Amino acid sequence: MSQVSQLENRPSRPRDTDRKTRIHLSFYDRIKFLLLFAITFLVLAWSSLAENPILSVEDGLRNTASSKSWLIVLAVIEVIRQIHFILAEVLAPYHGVWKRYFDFVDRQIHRLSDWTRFRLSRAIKWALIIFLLAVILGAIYDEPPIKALFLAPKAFLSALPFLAQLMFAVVFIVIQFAALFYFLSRGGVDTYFPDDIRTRFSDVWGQDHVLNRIRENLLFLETPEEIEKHGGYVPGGILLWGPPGTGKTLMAESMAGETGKPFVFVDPGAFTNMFIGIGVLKVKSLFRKLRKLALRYGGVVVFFDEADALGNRGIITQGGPQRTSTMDKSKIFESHCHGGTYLSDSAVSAITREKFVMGGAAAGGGGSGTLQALLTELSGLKKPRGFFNRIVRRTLGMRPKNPPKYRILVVMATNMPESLDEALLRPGRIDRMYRVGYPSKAGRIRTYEGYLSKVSHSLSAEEIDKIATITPYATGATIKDTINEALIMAIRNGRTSIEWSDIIKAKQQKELGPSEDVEYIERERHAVAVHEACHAVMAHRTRQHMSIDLATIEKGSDYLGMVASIPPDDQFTRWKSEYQSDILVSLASLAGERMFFEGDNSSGVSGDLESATTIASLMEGHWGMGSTISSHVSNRRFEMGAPGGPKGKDDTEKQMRMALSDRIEENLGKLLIQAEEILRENRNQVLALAHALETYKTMSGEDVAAVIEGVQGSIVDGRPYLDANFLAEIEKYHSASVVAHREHRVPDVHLPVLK
Amino acid sequence: MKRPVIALLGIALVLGLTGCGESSKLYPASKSEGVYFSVPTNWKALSTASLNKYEKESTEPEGAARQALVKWQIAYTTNKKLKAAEVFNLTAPSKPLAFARVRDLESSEINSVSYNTLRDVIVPVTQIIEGDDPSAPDFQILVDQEVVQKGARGVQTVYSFSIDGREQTINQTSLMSNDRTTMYIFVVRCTTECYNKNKKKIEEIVSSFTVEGAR
Repeated sequence: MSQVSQLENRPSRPRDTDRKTRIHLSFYDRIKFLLLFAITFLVLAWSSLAENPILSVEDGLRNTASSKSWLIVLAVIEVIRQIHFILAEVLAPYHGVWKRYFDFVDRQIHRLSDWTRFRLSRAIKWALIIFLLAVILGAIYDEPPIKALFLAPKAFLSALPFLAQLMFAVVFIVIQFAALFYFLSRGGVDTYFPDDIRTRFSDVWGQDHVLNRIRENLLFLETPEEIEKHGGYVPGGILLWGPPGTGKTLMAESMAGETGKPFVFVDPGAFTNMFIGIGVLKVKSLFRKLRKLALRYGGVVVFFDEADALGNRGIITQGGPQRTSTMDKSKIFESHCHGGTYLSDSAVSAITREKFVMGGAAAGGGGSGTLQALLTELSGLKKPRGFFNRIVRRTLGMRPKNPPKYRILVVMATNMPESLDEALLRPGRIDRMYRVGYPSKAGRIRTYEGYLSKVSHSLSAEEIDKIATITPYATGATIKDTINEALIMAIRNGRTSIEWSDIIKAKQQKELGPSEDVEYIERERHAVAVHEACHAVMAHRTRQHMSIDLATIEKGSDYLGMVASIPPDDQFTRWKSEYQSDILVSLASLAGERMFFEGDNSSGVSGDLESATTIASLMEGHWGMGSTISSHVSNRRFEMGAPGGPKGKDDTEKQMRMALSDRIEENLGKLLIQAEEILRENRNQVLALAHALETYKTMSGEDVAAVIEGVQGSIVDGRPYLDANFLAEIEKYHSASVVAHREHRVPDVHLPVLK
Repeated sequence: MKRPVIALLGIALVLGLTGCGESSKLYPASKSEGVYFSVPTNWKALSTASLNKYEKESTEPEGAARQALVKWQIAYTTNKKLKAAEVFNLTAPSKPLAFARVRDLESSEINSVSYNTLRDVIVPVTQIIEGDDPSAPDFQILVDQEVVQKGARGVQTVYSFSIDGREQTINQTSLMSNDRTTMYIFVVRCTTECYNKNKKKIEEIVSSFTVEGAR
């Protein structure tokens, strides 16, 4: 207690302006000049002793004292000064009087700026040191001090060969490392000069919104004054991210082409090195080069391709762009004919998000220090440029000139933005992040036209429009590939000109991969066809936000058959009705198989049921599309029971899950009944489509619709399926197949053929 | 508070004591020739310049030629009125007189220099001893010993004789440099009476004579 009160009552240290006495000097400050004088004196005495072999130490000291009496005088003055200081520290009145009469000297001195005072005192100190050095050298060389000052460098010069010998040993070792590191830190960086690049913005198709933003950046690179004179600053870097093949690299190249500035391309592997530290050297030499180019050409564009190769420092980044860009679609959605293929893209991504816990993306990247070096170079301190500026001006006591403004536009491209380091993306480094998404339809048309113009083809404008529409996720790369594939098909068929059917086949080939040419036994073929037909009919009837792209029963590498759908337009919100129809499409296979095969169903519906259940769960628990409103996510977070569930701690989670799964099951049951009803109403259409699939194996979405509606499609004519006689034939074939299915034998009736 | 003050006073004391004290001796030296000796502080110097001047102006034949070979010479004595002339003639000084001289050897001399030549540098000692020179009947050698120094070697000879009835003692050290190009002569002389009186002091002075050799 008493200690605390002592602490509390302790007065704070007085301000310097409030002090009555002088501030205490430290011991070193008191003796430093005397020490300097003493050392000088001793050196001088030592030199006189060394000169005269018969001189006694005592006489040496005395001689020195009498011949260098000014040193004694200086020491005495210093002693007096220190005594004055001590008095001023101890006696307040003495200090007061002194301050009153001599304070004006201090004031006069403080009228000089701090910088000037510092330089002045530095100059005086240097003069003193040089003077003492001259005196000492003079005594050693037995010459006048000034002359001795010039003799010292001579002595140094004569010692140089010896020093060089010593240095050689050091340099010999150092140079090996230096050379090794120099050569190791080469490479991985290519510089293109304006004339080398022919790509322009007009060569980038379908990414106009991104291009416009990039144009803005380039404008600032060309005329940075525009923004700087108004107090702003030029954005430092651009990150282009998006799916592979969407033209990020092309965009960067066109950027360099447009500006007429050099374009430095940094290889993704440039920072992968054998030795730790080379990466850092590489970054440093890269930026030295960039600064040089920036000054010479008034700006430079540097492009880091696959910037994710730089790695991060093991922090799981949060926020930022939506992190679903690289998410692998779950394997179950690709295996067999069932599951994810029937769903819309966002439903698939929702399911995969549930299924996968993202691991910490602690990719090593360039290795220790490389990323950090890059970070500092991007927004680190800029030191003044040039030897003269840095060294000579500073030596002369002049302030170095400000570093020049280097106009370096950093562009990075990646398809894994989540694996970039957070610090890399902070404002001031990479300010602007542009998603280079799939090209717009106009862009796709433009791209198709562009690549088609290089080959001979007979496609009309409408057909190009159509192919652009049915390939919503086509990128420049895939379009180029599709057309090349179409050309190969045309050539294989003995033509040199691409036709519509070539394009469609090429597209199917690209999307589905080559079919395995496995011939199903008839009853299984029919079962698969019915299964797919159920999906297709259900999709056609209930799902308005997706249209069927193609349906096939040709066995591929990892599916028996499939109905692929595409969104006809870009849509960013999803609705309950849409999810319900997604579930209906998924459940259609189970409902259909049970309906058409006398209550039997295959294991092939497992994937469909899994995705249907997941979506139903999310609807019920997350999206407010079920019978309750509360979110399962927050329920779980706050360890609350589900609505209606028992309160209490014991096994709340389980209780809640049970309650939730009951509701999900109930919902799915309702939807299954609904699916059955719809299929019962469309029994003819299902069988007709199954027949068409058995006949043609693979059908485009257009033809699927034609068969269901009974109209003329692009390849398949749907009108015969309106004929009651033909429908009866199909029905008969189906019945025979069911019997064959039940009894495991070849059906009596063969597939009816259209006339 | 205490420590700095003590240190301050300590430094002041050292500087003050050395500053106020007088050197106990004079240290005449030619650093370039590497010749050093010391004399008490009350001795006065006859400067190199005044000695050179006297020698140049002397009417002696070959005087000027001999002087040209002299590199350094200096004389010290307690007699304030001593003239340069008295340094160079053999009249016995009444008070101790020290004289140091460094001179080059002529090429003709170099081959013939021996310890005897060194002994004969002022007075033809060898001749007198062998009885060839009857001019100094009371001549006697008191000390004759070899001297080896860092830069030179030779002989130290102490001898006495009378001229005009005044007996004087000469303590003579004459050395030749190791490369046989330079001769160092150091002489302290006085009337024998005076010499004996100041013997200790004189011997101290002689022993301080050091030849390191030219740098």
